[in-house]
Amino acid sequence: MADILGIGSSGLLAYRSALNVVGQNIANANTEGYSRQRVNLEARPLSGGSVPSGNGVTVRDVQRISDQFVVNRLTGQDSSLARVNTMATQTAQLDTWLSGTDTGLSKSLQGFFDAVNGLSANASSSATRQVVLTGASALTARFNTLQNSFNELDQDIDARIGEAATRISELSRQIAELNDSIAQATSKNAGQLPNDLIDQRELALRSLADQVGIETSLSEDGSINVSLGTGQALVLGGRASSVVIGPDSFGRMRDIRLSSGAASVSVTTQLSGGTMGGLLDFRREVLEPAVNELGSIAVALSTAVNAQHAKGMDQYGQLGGALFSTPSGTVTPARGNTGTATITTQVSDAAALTMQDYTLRFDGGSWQMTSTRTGENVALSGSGSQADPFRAAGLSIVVTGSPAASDQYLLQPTRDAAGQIKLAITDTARIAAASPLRTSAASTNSGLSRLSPPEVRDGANPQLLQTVAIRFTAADRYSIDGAGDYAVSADGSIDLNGWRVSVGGVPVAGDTFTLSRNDGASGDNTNALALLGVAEQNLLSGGRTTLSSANSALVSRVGSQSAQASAQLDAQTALSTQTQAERDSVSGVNLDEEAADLIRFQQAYQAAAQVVSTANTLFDSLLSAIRS
Amino acid sequence: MNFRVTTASVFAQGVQAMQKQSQELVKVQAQMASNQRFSRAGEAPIEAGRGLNIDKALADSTQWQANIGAAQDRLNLEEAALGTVSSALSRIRELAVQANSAAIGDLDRKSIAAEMKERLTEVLDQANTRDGQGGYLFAGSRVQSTPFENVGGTVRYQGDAMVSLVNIGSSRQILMGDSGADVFVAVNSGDGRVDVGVDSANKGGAAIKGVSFTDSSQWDGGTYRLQLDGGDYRVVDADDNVVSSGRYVDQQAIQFRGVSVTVSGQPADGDAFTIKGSEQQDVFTTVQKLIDVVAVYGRSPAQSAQDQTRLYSAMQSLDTVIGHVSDVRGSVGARLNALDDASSQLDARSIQLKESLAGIREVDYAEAASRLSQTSTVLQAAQQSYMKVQALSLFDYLR
Repeated sequence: MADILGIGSSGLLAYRSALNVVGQNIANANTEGYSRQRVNLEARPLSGGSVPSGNGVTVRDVQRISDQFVVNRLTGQDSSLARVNTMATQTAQLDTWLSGTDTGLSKSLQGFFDAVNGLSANASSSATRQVVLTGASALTARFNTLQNSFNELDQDIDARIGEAATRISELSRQIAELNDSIAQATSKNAGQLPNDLIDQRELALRSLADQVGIETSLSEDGSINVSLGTGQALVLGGRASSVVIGPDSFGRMRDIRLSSGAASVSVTTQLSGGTMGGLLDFRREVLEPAVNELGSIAVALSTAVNAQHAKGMDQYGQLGGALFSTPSGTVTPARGNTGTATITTQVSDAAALTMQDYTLRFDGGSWQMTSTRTGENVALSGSGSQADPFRAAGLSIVVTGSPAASDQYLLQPTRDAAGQIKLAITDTARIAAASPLRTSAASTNSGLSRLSPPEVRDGANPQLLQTVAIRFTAADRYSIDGAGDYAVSADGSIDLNGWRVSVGGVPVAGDTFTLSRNDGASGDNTNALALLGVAEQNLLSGGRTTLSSANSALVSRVGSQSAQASAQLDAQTALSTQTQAERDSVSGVNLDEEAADLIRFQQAYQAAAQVVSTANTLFDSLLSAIRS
Repeated sequence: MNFRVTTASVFAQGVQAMQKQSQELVKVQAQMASNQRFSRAGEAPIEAGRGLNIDKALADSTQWQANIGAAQDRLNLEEAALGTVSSALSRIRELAVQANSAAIGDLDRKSIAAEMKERLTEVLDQANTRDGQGGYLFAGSRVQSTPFENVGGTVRYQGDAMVSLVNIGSSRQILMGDSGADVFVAVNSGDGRVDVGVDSANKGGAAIKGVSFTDSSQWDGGTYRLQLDGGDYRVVDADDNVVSSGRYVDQQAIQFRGVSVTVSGQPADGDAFTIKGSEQQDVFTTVQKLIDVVAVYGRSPAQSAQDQTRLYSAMQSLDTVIGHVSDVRGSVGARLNALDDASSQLDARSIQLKESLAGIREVDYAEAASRLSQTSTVLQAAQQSYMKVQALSLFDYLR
């Protein structure tokens, strides 16, 4: 009689527990990271009675329904998703700047050359000159603004990496603590796992994977060990390392280090995945090449325009000065340098510029230059002196002072160029639209010969502006200032003092032409026309692209990267959604299911109560039988 | 695989589906509102790059059109100025022919000379024409200084020979004008290759009536003297070497070095003429020389005979000048035609480029409208099905 009561009450207790679990499931139907639980019941075995019946029911355990393989995959995909999401967002930002009509370069580049064209059609007007200056300053402003935006984006990346580092440290501490708690609870409750703590740890791991790619492994005591990238331990049981940002070898706060106690190790190059990996990838693959490329456009523009401008004459009768200040490369010495060398770089050939940064290292005897991106060695020609600088990748590099062995320098030829380009003149009369020289024919000439306007080939020739009289002694021979006897070259041209003229018609002996300073030629547009020609010159990419096509290539490239990133994001989102659905399918709560369970357990509970009540009735009948 | 559906995922998926359709709807709406297929290169990288290149081509076309306009303005001004110059020169020629008539008296010559001077001033005035911005049209590149100045009776050119070229196509440039040197200065005297002169000491009635080439390749442009003595003629070169000689016959051609000179009238012994290569002689000097021949009064028969030769030379020079100016006008006209052609080519090109650009960047409204209605239908369906699905719960039956 007592056993039926015991059996009934064991049912009551078991179904209470089962209903509790259903309640817990329903209550947590919308809790993030919650895994549904199930009560596993077990029949209590016979405990030596004479009647062959069982001894009721007992709760074996409350099981957390989860598939570790799916969860591991999901964690990995969280990292990938966070990475491509970061890439897509950041690249879209960059793309918006570069390709926007009002933020990109193309409109103002075109605007500048439009203004120069206006000058070529009306060289004497001070209004068209003013338009050129306005166009030039709008162009430099656009370069500067883009550089600023890129720099802000760069700083923003540093800030975000810093935040990610803090978050990683927090999460790894949290995971370590949860590891401890889980181990304790497991050992205390003999077999009953602390399901809700495990859910919490799983959630923390997923948050961690959002920040950076991780590897996990389960150890025997139920703790999870977490390692970064190539195996550096972030969490080992109850011990957590933290991630800190320190100065890299060139003093930039960009070295990501894994620190446990006093020791720390650099993991910058080993990180991948997650927000942090996405930021690093974006900087390396998208931002830095784009900034360098924009800078190279700025350098090519200012070099070519200045070179042509120097071949013209301004309204003061002087050779043209620089129209743009030419950007200089950025050189950063390493923190550990012990020598006293100073490195200066200049762009000597804009067409040979690459989009890369370089490390220049002194090995005690000679200098080595390597690309920071590919690690490839770049051959240096020259000796590095002022007179004979090193030449490589379009740069001329001058070393002064004495380096010590293993001193290093970071060369960023065009990193800041777009920010450095500025308009160098403000006076409209300083625009050198005219040719510095003119040819005039003597009035006694036969009238059968002509000399073309001089073409300036070397604006730096000190004799350029000297007055020179060319007197023909025959159709193809001439003397200079009454002396010498020279032949006109085969293509009909005469070269001297940095200029070239071509002979037209048939000169008669005695025909004389004078080349002299082109003073007062305010309507001469020769050099304006040549400046306009800079727009059509193939200045970049080894002499294959013009300024504007380099810009559209840049826009297209960043655009493709952005398109690629969003395609990847779409793909990864679909994948993650599917894996999440798989996880939910295993571990998620279905309220209908719980409702059914609720009914099921409620009925079982009622039935068990009926058993107790029946036992009571039996007991009562027995008592009344005795009483009567 | 038997997929377990969970309550949270039913909600999440429903919301996600609606979110996706809403995004698409917003995108279509933005496209239709802005008529731009994409707002940044990432949405269509290849098209964006091509678009930029076409932008550049279109901007170039616009530049060239503007240049064509500027060149047309200048060349039209030049054409008008040269037209005036031409008619003034023609009038001067008419006047010279009148003055050459035997019936003309000193008084008439005076008034003819006066009108010729007026016409010369008119030519000078045209040579100093300014354009709309106040720059001199015929000053070469020295547009701010008066190109032709009359200094003590001689007109001097102060400009230079530089003429602005402008771009009117990718590899096409055109001269925006002609310098004063080209138009008014670089002209040769005589017929352009040979010119004649007369000694002022001549006493006879002979005068040169014509010079022509029998074989122009033999003409060396040197200076020769035709000397008449005792019924014979001799032609000597600069070093007094005789190059031709014979009996002088009135109106019979005297030939040497490829030229044929016709002299008429009875020369006196010792009379001489000069035949020499043309030299550069500007328009003003040419006209001035003609005026100088016309504006002479009370001449003796010998002087009148000299005047005949001088007038012949001056008229030859004037004809050369008139021919030269008309050549320049022809070249201006040719350039204006070329500009018209280039302009209509550029118009066609611009239209084509704009079409390509529209194809790349602009929204195809038919397509966008159908996408809009499709997307909104899908969104509605998503919303309705979501409402249906989320309303299903076993708990509803547990009351």
